[in-house]
Amino acid sequence: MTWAGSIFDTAGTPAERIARLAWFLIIVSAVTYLLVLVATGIAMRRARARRTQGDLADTRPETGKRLTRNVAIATIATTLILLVYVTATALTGKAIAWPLNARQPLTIEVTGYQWWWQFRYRDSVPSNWLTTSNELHIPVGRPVRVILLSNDVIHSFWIPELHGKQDLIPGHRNTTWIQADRPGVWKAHCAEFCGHQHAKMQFDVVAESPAQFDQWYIRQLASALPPTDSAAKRGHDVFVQRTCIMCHSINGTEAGSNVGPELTHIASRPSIAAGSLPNTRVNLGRWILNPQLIKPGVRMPPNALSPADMNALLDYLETLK
Amino acid sequence: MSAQPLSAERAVESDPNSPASLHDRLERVWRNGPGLWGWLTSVNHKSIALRSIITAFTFFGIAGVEAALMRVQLARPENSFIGPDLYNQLFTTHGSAMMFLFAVPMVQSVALYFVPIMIGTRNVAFPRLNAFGYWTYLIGGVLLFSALFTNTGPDQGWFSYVPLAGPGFSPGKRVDIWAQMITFTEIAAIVAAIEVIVTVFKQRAPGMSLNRVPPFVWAMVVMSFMVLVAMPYVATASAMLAMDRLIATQFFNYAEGGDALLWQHLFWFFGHPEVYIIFIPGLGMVSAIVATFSRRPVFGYTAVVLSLVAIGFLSFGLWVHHMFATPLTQTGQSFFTAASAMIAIPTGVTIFCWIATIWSGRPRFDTPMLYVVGFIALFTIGGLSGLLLASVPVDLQITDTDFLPGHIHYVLLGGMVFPLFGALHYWFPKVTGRMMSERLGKVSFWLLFIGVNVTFFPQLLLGIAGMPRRVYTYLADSGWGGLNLTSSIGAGFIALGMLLLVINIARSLAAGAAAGADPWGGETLEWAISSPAPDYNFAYIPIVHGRSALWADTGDLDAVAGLREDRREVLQTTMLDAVPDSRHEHPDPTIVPLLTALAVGVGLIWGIFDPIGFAVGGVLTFIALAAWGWPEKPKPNTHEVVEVPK
Amino acid sequence: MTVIGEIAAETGRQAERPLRPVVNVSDLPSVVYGSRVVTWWGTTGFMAAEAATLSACVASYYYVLRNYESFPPLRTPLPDLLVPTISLIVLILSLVPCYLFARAAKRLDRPATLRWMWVAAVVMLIATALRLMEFSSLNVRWDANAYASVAWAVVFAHFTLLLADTLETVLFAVIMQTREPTRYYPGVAEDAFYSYFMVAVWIPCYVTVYLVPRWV
Repeated sequence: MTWAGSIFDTAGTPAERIARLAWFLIIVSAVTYLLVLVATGIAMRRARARRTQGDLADTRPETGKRLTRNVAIATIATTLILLVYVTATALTGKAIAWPLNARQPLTIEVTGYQWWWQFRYRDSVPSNWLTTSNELHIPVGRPVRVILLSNDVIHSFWIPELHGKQDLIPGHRNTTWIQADRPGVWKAHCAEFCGHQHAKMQFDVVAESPAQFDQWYIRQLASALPPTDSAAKRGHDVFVQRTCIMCHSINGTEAGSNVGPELTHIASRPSIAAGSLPNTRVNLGRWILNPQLIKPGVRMPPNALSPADMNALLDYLETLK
Repeated sequence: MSAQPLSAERAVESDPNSPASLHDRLERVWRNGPGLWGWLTSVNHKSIALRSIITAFTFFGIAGVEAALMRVQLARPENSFIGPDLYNQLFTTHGSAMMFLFAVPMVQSVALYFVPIMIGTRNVAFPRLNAFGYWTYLIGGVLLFSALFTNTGPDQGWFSYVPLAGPGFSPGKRVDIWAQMITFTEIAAIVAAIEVIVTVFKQRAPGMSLNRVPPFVWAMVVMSFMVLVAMPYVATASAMLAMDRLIATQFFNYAEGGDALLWQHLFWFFGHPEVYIIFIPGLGMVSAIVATFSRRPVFGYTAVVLSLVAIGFLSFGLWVHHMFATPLTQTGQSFFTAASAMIAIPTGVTIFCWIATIWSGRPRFDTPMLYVVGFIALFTIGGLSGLLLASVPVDLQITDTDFLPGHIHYVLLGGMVFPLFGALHYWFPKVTGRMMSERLGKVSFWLLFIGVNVTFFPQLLLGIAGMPRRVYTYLADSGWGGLNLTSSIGAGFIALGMLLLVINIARSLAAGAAAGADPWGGETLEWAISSPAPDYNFAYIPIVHGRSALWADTGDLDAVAGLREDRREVLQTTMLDAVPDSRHEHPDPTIVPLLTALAVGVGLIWGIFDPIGFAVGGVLTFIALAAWGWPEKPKPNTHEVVEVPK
Repeated sequence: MTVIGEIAAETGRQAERPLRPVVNVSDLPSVVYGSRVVTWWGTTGFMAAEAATLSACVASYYYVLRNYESFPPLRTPLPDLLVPTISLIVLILSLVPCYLFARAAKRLDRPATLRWMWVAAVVMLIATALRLMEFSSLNVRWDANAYASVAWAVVFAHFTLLLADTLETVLFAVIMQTREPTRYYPGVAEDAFYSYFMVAVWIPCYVTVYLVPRWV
């Protein structure tokens, strides 16, 4: 039942209800399928027996009558099954709608980019708005209203453990909702073909206790600390003097562009390259040197940094916890 | 009706020559011209349908190789066999070619080959239009694959969602080539649909009233009506897309009031019926095979025909179930779920009727019949997995995952390709005069049957496991490696099965046993004439006395005499009851259809690069059509008998 | 194909079912009119496909309409009514000569057929010219916004039908003038039949493009 990452590995009400409906439909389908196969098998055996006896086709009126009755019964049974099916679907549809009595909902605005994710946590206090990239933290037990926007083409937001998909369509403002009922760490994928790197457009989902979540939130709100040691200082200079600054932002520095993912707390994230590479020093170095080798077609250009510059840059990025 | 009954004696009197010389005279009038010129100018429905079938089969082969390459790439995680650019071209052209260049043209070609023979006429209603349709289709197909082989193949997906396919995110000419390929194939599809409808309505053999039309022919008529309504939608949509890209219209640009979802509505209003356009003919082929091999007419003729019609109608009410993950109101969801469920009823009825046919029949399990059983086993999985997709909540989880390719391949391989291969083994003797090898046929059937299951069942599971579709690779820690490898191994079985099938075709062509006119003891009129069919189909137009044309009468068939033998004359009958009504002279072979298709081709292909091309192509097309419409010199001793309306 | 030819020679026509002629159809007419002719059905088939195309354009128009709070969009003037309405009237009037030449064609009355065909051709050429002027009556370029694009699409899609019908009428008139093949008379009658369709489908398009923006 808990097939990791599958739609049956549920951690929230909508996914749970859908999984139940899916199981029901799978069982009904399997039984129906077996019945069709058995009927076909019997028809073939009967017919084969008649063939060896050398009879002609059985076109007697009484056989015809019986067959008409059987076809009618099968059709009525099909119709009844479909009625149950439509009803079950409608009931589940109602059960997974946004709970109107939701208390203290959290609102997150998701924006899809070719090929990464931006999350903006809304708060009644504007200065508490938080922007992160490719990493979604949610508190367990609290409903989250998700607003879906796109910066470029159509993407689709999907965390199989929590709920079905909803598309991010430019020019439209779609919404969905999620709620984690247990802590967990999951991988989510873009589910609408969005160009070259659709395959590697993922993000990490972390569902944690409200206390841990608040802690995380406060830490993320903080600006990056100025570098202290000389290597990190040099790395910072590399960042702001080379091309990095054209696209990325680090709060607390002059880097403020939002073409690419923001990197204020890059070192605290489990992965880089939109969830497609574990966040290690080696991977980060490979990525910065030539992202095209890892995600061909990605918007980020190769960076011909000297080994010393590269090491310094990595030192600096590792301080951005 | 002004025809007079003739005694057999008078028939002989008015036709003093032996049947052999009658054959020679008809052959002289109806055959294609000699050599390459004869090939280019042919307007014979069998020549054109056969080359169309071969063309479609070739495209099927190329698109199949593309699928194999994709399966190699996906066999293990983070494989580097194919990069995303090529992969996206492969899956886009695989889908586009299978849908537009294989499935629809293939079922229409089968219709254009066999419908005229099954209803007892000499040619399709508009022979030159038929040739024109083939040439446009060929140009469209060559255009798409030329683009692929020069590494400028479309890479936006066969569904071309905007804005990804729009001017902002797909620069270059790839999408324009795709859009123009759509235009070519839509012209061809609409033309073929009109051919089928009009031929069936106006050229049936005397006595074949509408309630005696074989289910196969009914299926083709339903499919053709669906083409007439559905195809213009995708043609309009792709024209809008091309205009957005070429002359900066704003149909899909949200910043100027356009809408990305408008594309999806237009596309799926075509795209869902498209699936049924493809498999309703499959149901027709199954009907033909089941009847012949069960040695009895299909059980529940009326129920089967009405079900086909009902499926055709209902299929236009389902398109939104491709868009459940775009926002949709609760009522909308319920409506489209219910409509999707409803279509399962007529589909179920047809399957129940075939099981009843086998049940009460005296079936022989030759290869065609095996494919029918394979059809039931595979297509039912496809249909039932479709129920999961039509249920909105479940759909939200499994749509756009690997479940989808699993489902659609069960539906299309099960519902169309298996019946098609059954039909291939069934009608091969009629087309070529030779039998196919039963042994090779059975081995390739089992390879294909096992291959389809091993390939696509894991994909259903992968979808449930959360793997998105249309990805060129996946990470090692996703846990999807095993199922993907299994799926790829299955593809190997399919490839082997296909290889054996091709070998079987080649061997049987060269050295198959002679088939004779009626190797299976068939029910319908095509088995009355020699194999391969003569160019004129029937020496005399047969008269039909029952639903099973050949089983209703044993021995000689009643027939109609009096059509001219010195020119291409066909008999037209009334639409409902098929009473002989008028004679109609058909055109001789001509190059004009090819020239017209070339003119259209110049316009549409040049138009990709410069709107002026459309204007030039339009003028050329008009010139070609004027030549088309220009009257031929009247033949000597033409006596028109005019009957003016009262 | 040669392979198949050889097989034919080899297997011959064995087991072919003998056909016994019992009815003679040699005195059936060879020129008939209306739904008795295949071309009537073919024309109807193309009408169905063309109607579907136009309905796709009109449906897109209403779909886009929902996206605007004010329609036509801000700073986009309404389309003019004068030229389009004259054009509509001319189109409807063109049906009179169409009806007359169809009637004449059904009686094989060559002078009347020719006379009314040429009248119809001239009126339709005027209608085509007016339609070209209509594009400027839309008062907006096709690339200004989605409203402009769909309005152009509806008018242009129908323009292609009008142009095709006009050219067909001219072509038929030339053929009938120079050749007069008897078997073309039913086709001439059908040309009028197509014109009825072409004018009829324009009416909802006209209402959509020129009146609806005034009403919403």
